[in-house]
This record gives sequence, C-alpha cells and structure tokens, in this order.
Amino acid sequence: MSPDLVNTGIDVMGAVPWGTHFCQFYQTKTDLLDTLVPYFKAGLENNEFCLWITAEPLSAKEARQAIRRAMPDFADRLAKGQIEILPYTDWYLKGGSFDQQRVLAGWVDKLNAAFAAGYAGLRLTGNTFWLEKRDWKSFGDYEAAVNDIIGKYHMLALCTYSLDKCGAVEVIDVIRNHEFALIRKEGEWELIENAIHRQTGEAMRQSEEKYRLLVQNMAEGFALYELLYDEAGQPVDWRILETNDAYTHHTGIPRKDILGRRMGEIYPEAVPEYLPRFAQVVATQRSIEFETYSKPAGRYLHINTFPAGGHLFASSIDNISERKLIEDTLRETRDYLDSLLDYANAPIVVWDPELRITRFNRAFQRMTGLKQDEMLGTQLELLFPEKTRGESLKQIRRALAGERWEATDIPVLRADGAVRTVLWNSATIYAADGKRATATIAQGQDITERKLAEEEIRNLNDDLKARTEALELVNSELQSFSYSVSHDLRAPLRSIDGFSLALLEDYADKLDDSGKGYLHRVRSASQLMGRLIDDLLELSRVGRADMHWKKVNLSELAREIRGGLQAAEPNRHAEFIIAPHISGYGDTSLLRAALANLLGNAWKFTGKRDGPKIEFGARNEGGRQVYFVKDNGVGFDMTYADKLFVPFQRLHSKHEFPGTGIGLATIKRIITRHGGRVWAEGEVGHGATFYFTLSNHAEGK
Amino acid sequence: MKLQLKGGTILLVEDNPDDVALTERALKKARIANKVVVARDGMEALDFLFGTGAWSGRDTSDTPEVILLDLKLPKLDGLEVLRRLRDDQRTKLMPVVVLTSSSEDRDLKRSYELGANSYIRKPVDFKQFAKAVQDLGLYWLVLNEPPP
Repeated sequence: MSPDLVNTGIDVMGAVPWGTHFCQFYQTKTDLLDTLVPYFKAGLENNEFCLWITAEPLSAKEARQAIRRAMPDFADRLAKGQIEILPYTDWYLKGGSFDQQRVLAGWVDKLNAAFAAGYAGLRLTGNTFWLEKRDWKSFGDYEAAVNDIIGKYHMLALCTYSLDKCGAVEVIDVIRNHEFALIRKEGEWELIENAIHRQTGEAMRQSEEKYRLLVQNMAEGFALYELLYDEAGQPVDWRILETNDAYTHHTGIPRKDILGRRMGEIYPEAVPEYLPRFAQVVATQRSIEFETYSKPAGRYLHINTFPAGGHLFASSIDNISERKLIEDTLRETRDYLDSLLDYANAPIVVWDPELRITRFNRAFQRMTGLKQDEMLGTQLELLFPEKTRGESLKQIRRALAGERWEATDIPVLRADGAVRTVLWNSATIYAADGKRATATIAQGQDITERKLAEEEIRNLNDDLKARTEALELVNSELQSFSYSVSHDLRAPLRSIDGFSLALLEDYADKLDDSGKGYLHRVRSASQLMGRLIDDLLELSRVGRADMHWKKVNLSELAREIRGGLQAAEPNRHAEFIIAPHISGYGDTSLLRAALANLLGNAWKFTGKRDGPKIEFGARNEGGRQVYFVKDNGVGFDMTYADKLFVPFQRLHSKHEFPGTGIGLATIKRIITRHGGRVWAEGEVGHGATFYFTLSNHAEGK
Repeated sequence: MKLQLKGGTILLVEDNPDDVALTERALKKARIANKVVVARDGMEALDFLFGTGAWSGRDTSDTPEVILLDLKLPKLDGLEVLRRLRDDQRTKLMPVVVLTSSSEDRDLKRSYELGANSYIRKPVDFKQFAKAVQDLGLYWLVLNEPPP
C-alpha cells in the first residue's frame, strides 16, 4: 500500500505522499502568494481539484489575479470548475459560526465530488486569520480530525497561520497538528518537520509493515483493489493491486495471474456482477458484506468489502464452500424430513418442554381441523377435551420425563368440538447433552371408528349372547316338550289301540263286521298318529343332535340301506346302482338318516312300476361335489318342487303312497346342518332326482 | 310248546292304569300266570322291594322274578328307582326291564348305564307290545337263570 507521491509545487518541500497535512506561518500577503500560487499551479497541472479558502490579508480576487498571472490556461480551468477560490466566510463561517462537523463533512464532500468528476485528488488551503484566541483549543481538535481524514484520502492540505496572531503556545500547537511547517527565515522558506509526526510516520511505517505481514499471513483472503472510472466519471472496472496467500488459497486463483490487472481482462463476466457493490463501497465509504458463488473461483465465498482510501477498496475473503455444503445438506435433510412429516398419513404433532405446540403435519390438521399457523406456540392442552385433559397432560409429562409411550390412548378435541380417540406413540428428542429434552414428537392413529366398531361388536356380542341364552332356554324347553310328546302323547294312543284290539279279540262274537271295521279304523288312525309323533320326534332330534364330523363313506351307507330295504320287502326287486367310493364330511348317523329317507322314498315311489331303478352317485359341479339319488318312479310335478321339503306337505295321496310328509323336511334339516343344500328335479311319470351338497370345508363347521 | 314258568312275582312299576291293564292282559295272553304286583310310583316300588312304608313287614327274601319299570313316574322316577336298586346289595342283581314310551336316546343310554337288563319301548300298536311282553316273559321267566 505504498501511497504515491504528489508534487507540492513548493520548492523546499518537493513531492510528498498523498494525505500530507502541513502548514505555513506568514506575515505578509507576499508570504502567502509565494507558496500558494505554485502550490495550486502544481495541483491544477496534476489534474487535481483545488479549493483555496482565502483570508486577510489576501482577498479571493487578489488570489485569482495572482494565479492567473502564473498560469496561462487558468481561466479555462476556473471555468470548468477545477478550482474554487472562496473567502473564509463562505467556508468556515458559513451559517455564521464555526461548526467542526460541517466543515469536515464539507472537505469529504468536495473530495467525493472531485473523484466523481474524475480528478486525481483534492488540494486545498485554509486560513485561520479569523480565528479568535479563545477558539484555539477547539480548532486544535479540528486540525487533529483533519489529520485523520486527510491521511486516508488523495488529499493535500496546507493551512496558513498568521504569525502576528500566534503566541508561542499557539505556534507549538499548530506545528504539533501538522506534519510540516513552512516558515520564512532570513528571506528563505524553511521546512520544519514535526518530530512527533516523524516518529509517528516511522511508527506507522513499522505498523504498516506489521500490518502487511499480518495481512499476508492471515487465514482470511485479502485483496486490495482500485476502482477505475471512465471518462464520464462512471466506475467501470477495478484493478487488483494486492492479494495475500490466503486469497490464492481460498479462491484458487494464482496471484501472478491477476496482480496489477483489471478484472475486465481477467474475468469480464465478474464485472457486471460485483461492480455496483464495489462502487457503492467507494462512494459511500462504508463496508458491505455478502456471500456469493464465485464462478472464477468455483466456490462459495464470504466477502467483506471495505473502503481503503480514495478509489481504493479491499476485500477480505473466506471460502465457505464447505459450510455451504453442510448448510445445503442440512437444508436437504430438513426439506426431506419436512416432506416426510407433512405427507405422512399419520397425524404428527411436536411440542416443546413447556408443552407448547411447535408444529404439526397435514394429517394432524385433517384429523383435528386445526390450522398450524393458529396453533403454533399455543399450549398443548388446548388439543384435549376438558374431561380427559388432566389425565392426558399427566401422561404427556411422563413422556417428557423420558418415558416412551407405546400405543397410548389419548382423546383429541377437534376444531368443531368433536372428540376423536387417538392411539399415540411418542419419542422425546434430547439436546446434545443427552439429558435436556428439547421436543417431544408424537404420532397418532385415529381409532375413533375402530373404537366405535369395537363397541358395536361388543354390543352385538352381548345381544348374541342374550339371544343364544334365550335360544338355549327355548331349546331345552323344546327338549322337555318333545320328551313329553314322546312319552305322554303316545300313552293314550297305546290305550286306544290296545283296548280296540282287546275289543276285537275278546268280544269278536259280539261285534258285526261293520263294528269290527270301525275298530280297525280306530286302530290304524292311532297307529298313524304314533308314526307322526315318531317322525316329528326324529325331525326334532336331527335338529338338536350333536354333530360328530368325520369323513363318511356314503357308498357304504347306501349299500347298508339298500340291504335294509330289501330285507323289509324281500319280494320286491329293484335295480340299485350305487357308485363306489363316494364320501363326504359329516355326521354318520345324520347322513345315514338322510340317505335312508331318500333311498326309502325312491324305493317307495318305484314300487308300482316294472323295472324300478334306483341310483346313488355324485358329480363335480364347479369344484363342489353334488350327490344325487335318482329313481324312475312316479316322479312329481315341478310346480310343487318348493313344497317338497315343507313338513306335512305331500304330493301323493296316502292311499297311493303311505307316509307322514316329514321325511324330506328331515332330510333338508340334516343337509342344512351340514352346510349344504338339497333340491329336487322330477316329472310326473318319469322319476325324480334329489340332489344334495355338503359343506365345502373338509372339517365341516 | 309247553313252557315251564318260574313261579315268582312280577313287579310292575307303572302309574298309568291303562298300561297296567294292557300289560296284565298281554301277560295273560302270553300265558304268563305269575303274580303281578303293581307299584304306582317309584316310592311304592322301593317300599315293596325293601319292605318299608305300606309294605313294611313284607318278607323281602321273596324277591320278584323280574321288575318291569316305567321311567316316567310320580314322586321318584324310574331311573332313580333303578339307581337305588343297583346301590343296594339285596336288589343289586335283580333283573330289571325298562318299559317305557320314551324313545329318547339319553333315556336308553342312562338306563343301561344304571344297570338295566333290557329296554323295551312301548309301541302304539298293541300287537307289537303284546309280542314284546311275550318275548320278555319267555326270556326272563323261562330261559334266564336268576343270580344265585
């Protein structure tokens, strides 16, 4: 950062660094003109903006005339505004009094205007002739502040003090506040260098060196730039003046490739991106910070750009790619979790250790009808119906104390006031110390419907139980009823039959044929009633009997029954075709009763024809075994097919074919108890076929 | 066929007078002339057998050849009578024929479990009943060797 030197135009001083603040003690007008005319002439020639504040004994007009004489093109420069010559009253005492801040700000404004107009710097002179003694102290502060400002900019300041107005103390003060003092001694101007400033300068050089080392070695990247302007004074580019090793490290851009070059030559695309910011830093002299993805560097950088005096600015640069990467990963993870949470089907709610709701997902919103933005930060207890609130909060506190819930039933209050029964699982999330709970996350399952269904099932079960009990009662009553029927109804029948027979046998000689005929009718009627009772009891018995499920060989049963039928009527002959190896699952004695009825019917209804044929078999229909008993007997009219299985319904007269009309009802009951179906097909005169199925389940039930 | 019948008593336990009359007639028809003692209920049957109550003082060594026992009886039912007979040393081996209208399986089963010697269902058709009684008499009063 070596500041370039600038020519003062004053012979004894020669060139000085920018930022030099010096003074001159004068006695006469000539003293002033001796120094100030060459001072400003050099400035104007060096393309600087010049500001000349005059005071007694030199007027602004005299100053203009003097310099015009020294410079042939002065009028042009004055005309284009490169120099302003103002009386002190228009500068220091503008507004009627001296305001340090206003004057200082005025210098900086002038400086900025000078830069904006494209001048290389600001050269000025001030005069303190107007200063009263009592103001010296505060003016000293002002000069010190001027030092601070001037030191930072392309600025040169020459302050003129009237020797007549300064006592020894004042002279020392003035010299202390300036780097150099010009004083005429024996007709020659002499330069007094301020010892304090000299030391300070040395200290500064040393500190500058230290600073340079620091910058060079610091971990943060550092670069010094100079903002470049076009002819219209608009910033257009910047030049890289200096970079440190860390800059190379962070950006990956080698120093030799860029040092002393314009950014526009190196990476033109970076210019439009960053120029507005850098120009702003230089214009406002305020630092800015930003993060950027630098294409030339191929990394994320954190950049702190600050003004470095005049057109200069500097940046400290940090490579934050890794941090960005972590941030991106974290953000991705967070987005992923957010989506997971939000789109989960299960309602999820999260709360903090103070039991404030911190978030919930859409499913929770759907379940409760509550809106997340209205509920965030509110107390969790608002979610619970008043009745169960206390108990629920107790459970929740237990969860915070580290207990995990597995499927805990906690009712939740909907926005519309309805209560949902929800089964919750929770997990508590702990801080890095593993002890302090930071949040509890709970996932619910709305089991309201299930609960209702369970309740309903329970009610149904209770109903069923009650009905079963009632049925059992009815059943047991039926049993005692049928027992009574079996016993008591038969007894009188027996007497009727018995005594009728006694009459027929013991008093045969006293009865004529008609009387005997009546007694025979009495007997057959009572015997028929006896059979009816027996058949009814059988029908009731097959409905009640315990079932013993097993595989039953039906072919064998059919053969046994055929044997019985033939034995009962040895003189009758019928062709029996019994398919072998037919079996089914069921209760042997019930199936025997059913088959006996079916085959018995076939036997009975083929009794009046030639070549009777009775067939038992089975065929497969759609995976289901369909058994059949087929005969070529009298058959029946299909119109009445649905009446066949109703108790006491008969399609033939008792005279033709005796029977009680209960047999098929008994068959139907047996088949129904086996989970099967029975039906019949027939045609009058062409036989009948009875079909039945049994339960498909191998084990029945 | 001339049958030599044992001369002991037949105890008929039956509350229905019609059945008593018909049974007695059937026995007569079958030419079984043994004395028939009728007990109208279960208690009476036990009194007769153990010489108690109305039958106190009876010589209980005069045991019936066979007991025809109806199941449905007033006071003490037939199955209970049977149980008590089988519990007592004196009547333990006495032939008991259960004679009933009931065709319930459980009655049949229970009767045999309690040690009935026979089980005859009284049919409505008296001819069948008479035949059964005749067969019964033939077996118990002629062929059966009573226990020592």
